[in-house]
Amino acid sequence: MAEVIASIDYPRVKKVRPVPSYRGLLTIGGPEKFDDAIAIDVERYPRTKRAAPPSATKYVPPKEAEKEPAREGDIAIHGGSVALQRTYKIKRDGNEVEVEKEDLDKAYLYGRTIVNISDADLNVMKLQTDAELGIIGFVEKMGVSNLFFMVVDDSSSGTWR
Amino acid sequence: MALSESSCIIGQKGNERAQIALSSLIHALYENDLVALARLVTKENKSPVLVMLAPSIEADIECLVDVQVPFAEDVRHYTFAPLDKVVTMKGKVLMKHRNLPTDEQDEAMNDYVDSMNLMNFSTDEEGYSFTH
Repeated sequence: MAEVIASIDYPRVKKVRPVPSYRGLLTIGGPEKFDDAIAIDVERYPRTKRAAPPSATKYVPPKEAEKEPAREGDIAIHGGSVALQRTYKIKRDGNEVEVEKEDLDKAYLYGRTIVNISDADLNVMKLQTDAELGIIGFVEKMGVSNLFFMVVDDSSSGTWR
Repeated sequence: MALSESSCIIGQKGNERAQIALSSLIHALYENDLVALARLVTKENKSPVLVMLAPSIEADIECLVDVQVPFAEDVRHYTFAPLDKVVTMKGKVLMKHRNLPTDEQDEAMNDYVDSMNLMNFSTDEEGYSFTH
C-alpha cells in the first residue's frame, strides 16, 4: 500500500495512440476557384489534451445484511451496471402527465411565446460546410499576444462558452 | 485568448511532396515571424472554427501548432475603474487617494512581480544555461 501511495506522487503519462482530428487539405487561396492556389495534404493530431482521471461508474452496492443473496435471482441487483431511464412530464391542471419522448419537439422562446421549429426546418437553417483547413490570412507574430499561446480549457467539450 | 487545446499539423504520412510543401510553409512563417489564421472544419457540416497556426521547428519534427481563437462574439469586453487614478462624480481626476497605492506600494509590487519572473530560471548567476 505504501508503494501505491508513493507512486501517486509521480504522474503517469498514458501512452495514447495518435488519432487524427482532421485529414485533408491545407489550402491557401481557394484551389476550387483558382489554378495557382496551394493545397497540401495534411493530418492534424492533438498536441495537448486534458488528461482526465478515469471516470467512475454507478453501481448498486450490496447492503451489509444482504451480502449473501437470499435467492438465486437477487444477485442481479447487487452490483452490475445501472441503466438510466428517463421520463418526460408536463404539468396539466396541476397534475403531472407523462409524455412520450417521440412526442417531444424543439421550440424557442420568443418573449413568452413558444415558437416551434421542427428538425427539418433546423436542418435547412444549419450552415452547410465541407471539411477544410483554409488559411485566410497571415498575422505578424509580434501582433499576437503571448497569451494566445497559453492554452486554456475550462470545459470538457473542448470549446469555450 | 486561446480557446482550445492545441493540435499539431503535419504533412500526410508517406506523401513526400506534401511534407516538403508544408515544410516550406513552416519555414516561411518562421523566417518572417508570422502566424497564419485559418478556417477549420474538421468534418462535413460541423461548425467552422478559427484557428491560429504557428510554426514549430524542432530537431526531429516540424509542424504547425494550432489553437482555436475566438470570434468577436466570443470575447467579453469589460470596463473597470482605472487603478492609477480616481475620477470623482464631478469628473475631477485625483492622483492621490486612499484607494490608490503609494509609490512605495507600487515599487514593492513591482519588485514582487520581478522576483517571480522565471525567464532566467534555467540560467545560473553567470548567465550559463544548465537545462537538459
